[in-house]
Amino acid sequence: MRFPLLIAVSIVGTPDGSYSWRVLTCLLAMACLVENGAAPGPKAAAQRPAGSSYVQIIERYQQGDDDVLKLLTPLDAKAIESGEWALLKTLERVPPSRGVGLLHAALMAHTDAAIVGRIGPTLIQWYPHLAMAQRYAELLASNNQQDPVAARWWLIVIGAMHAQRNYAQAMTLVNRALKTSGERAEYIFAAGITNELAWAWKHDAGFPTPFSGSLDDAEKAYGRLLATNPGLIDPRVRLGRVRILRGNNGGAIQTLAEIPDTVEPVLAYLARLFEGDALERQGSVEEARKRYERAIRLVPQAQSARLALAFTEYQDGARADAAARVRDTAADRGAADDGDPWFWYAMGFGAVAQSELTALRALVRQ
Amino acid sequence: MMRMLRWVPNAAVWAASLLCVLDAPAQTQRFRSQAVAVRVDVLVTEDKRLVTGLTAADFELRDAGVLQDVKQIDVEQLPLNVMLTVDTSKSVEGARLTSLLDAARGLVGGLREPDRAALLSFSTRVRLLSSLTSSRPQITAALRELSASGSTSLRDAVFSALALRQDDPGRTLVLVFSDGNDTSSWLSTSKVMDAARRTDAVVYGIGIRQQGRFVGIVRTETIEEIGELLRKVTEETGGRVLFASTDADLRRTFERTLDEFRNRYVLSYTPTGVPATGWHTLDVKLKSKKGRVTARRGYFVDLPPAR
Repeated sequence: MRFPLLIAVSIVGTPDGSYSWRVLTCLLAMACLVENGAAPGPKAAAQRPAGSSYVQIIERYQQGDDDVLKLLTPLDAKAIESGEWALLKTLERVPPSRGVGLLHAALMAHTDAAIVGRIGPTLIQWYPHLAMAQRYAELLASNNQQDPVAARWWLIVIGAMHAQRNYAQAMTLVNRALKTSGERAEYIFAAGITNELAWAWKHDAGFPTPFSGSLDDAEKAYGRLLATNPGLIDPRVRLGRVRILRGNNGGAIQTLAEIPDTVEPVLAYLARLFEGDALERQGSVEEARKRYERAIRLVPQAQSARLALAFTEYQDGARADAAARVRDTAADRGAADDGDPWFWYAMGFGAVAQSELTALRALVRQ
Repeated sequence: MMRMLRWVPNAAVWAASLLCVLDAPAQTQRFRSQAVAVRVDVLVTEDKRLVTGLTAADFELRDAGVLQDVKQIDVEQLPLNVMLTVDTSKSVEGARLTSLLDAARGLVGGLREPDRAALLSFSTRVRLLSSLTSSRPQITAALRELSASGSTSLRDAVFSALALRQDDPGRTLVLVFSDGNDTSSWLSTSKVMDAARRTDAVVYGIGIRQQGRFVGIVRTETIEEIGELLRKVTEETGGRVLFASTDADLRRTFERTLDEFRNRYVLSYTPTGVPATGWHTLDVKLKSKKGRVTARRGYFVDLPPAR
């Protein structure tokens, strides 16, 4: 029920993109009514902390005070809802630019509370903050679909879900992003990755998951991006991988061969690693080895291509060679734990969530 | 010499037949099954207790369905190679890591003079902290390097441990401790299983039993959860999965694993009437005595390398 109301909110945005706060907050109040069955009455208000303290928390966060997360994080869903109400009332009294700033800060404060300052490892414990942040993101996007903070915020939370292998929630967020912030290339890419990773998690790694992903949807998403911009490398690498997972090794090799070793080493490494995998699956082991060796030259400290190569030697009966290769890579004390492009690949948007979070946090505090 | 050894059966035994293999001309391109014995590591239990005191005459072994004439090798005469492969992902941080270190030290302390041990850790990356050595101080020093962080590359680690099994007459125990599922390996389960079929190493998995918890007023069942890979690879190689009831119980579980491995039987035979190469299914039974037999499901004889 809330979504149509948010569409309504977007209608009240003025032609120049500024906000009509009075109408907006009125509609949000209606949204609360619909969602909760009643407006926050005196009894409900009595159970919650003073709304003004919530606004102060958001203001202090905006000013760069991270300690306030200790106050925000423990708030339960009701207290958060009460705070939201107080914040929206505040928006009626401040200029639109200040209002947008507060909403941006509130969005990121709850995101920090959910992701960084989360008090427990389960979704149930951090969900209230995530849900609140999402409400703010959707509110911002409904008034200005190009809102830069809201648009990038989705990538953080989708990434956080990828990092936790919670692909069902990630897909829900991708769909919300597409609906509220528009069909941006990043979201289409995120849809493809979510489908791909979910499928691999269930079928390749063998874990039960409520969302099992669709390789067909993943391939369509990557294909759509490449149709718009054939020069993109990331979706081409992923398209190659998806084709391998679908058993289309010939198609994968063709796709990946278009990526030269001169592109960013991490992407070239993955292209060669996947090409080797596809060739190995086709039975062209010697050719596969050549690709793995090229991958090793591109990112020498990565372990995946070295183990892939060691496996082909082991399978071929060249045990001493395989053992020496394993020993070389496993005994490399200088290699960083996260120095393997495959690790980041399997993280999906989780690989960029932290840097995006840092960037957006800085942006809302300017 | 290494070139020759590559194409003997990988469940190979050395024993008396070893010299015959080494003496054979290097250019011979056929499988010399007459010269190479196969060794099968066997565990016998009854009601969760080890059955000891059996002899070769108590066993019936079929290779690819063909009954074989088996001999028993005295396990006491075979040194152990223990590939200690431990999960050091983030979930092991804290008390669990302390207990793991204590358990590993206990295991190393239980090794005998000719035995050797290697230490592999795995989180996001597989790390070889000590190659196979009989030096206890070297292993103990390597244990001090363990710290917990990152994800879990279990499949990559199991393959690495299997690949590092050396061509020597010792019995190889790959002891894998993990408290979670794989989250970051490159190698697939099927590849690790393939590797497991091509070695005579025995894999034991050690997990931690998740105690039942109260959810509201309902107590959940105790869960003995171990990753799918460890369950499969231990079955394939004739090993087992053992569970520690708590972190503090890890030391006892490690010791129990070593004790169990020492109390297995090693049967040896020279295959007759079976195909020279490819997969050989093994079926080991007790002729008349009671007991549950656990042994590898088979072995794979490699084709000669193409190069």
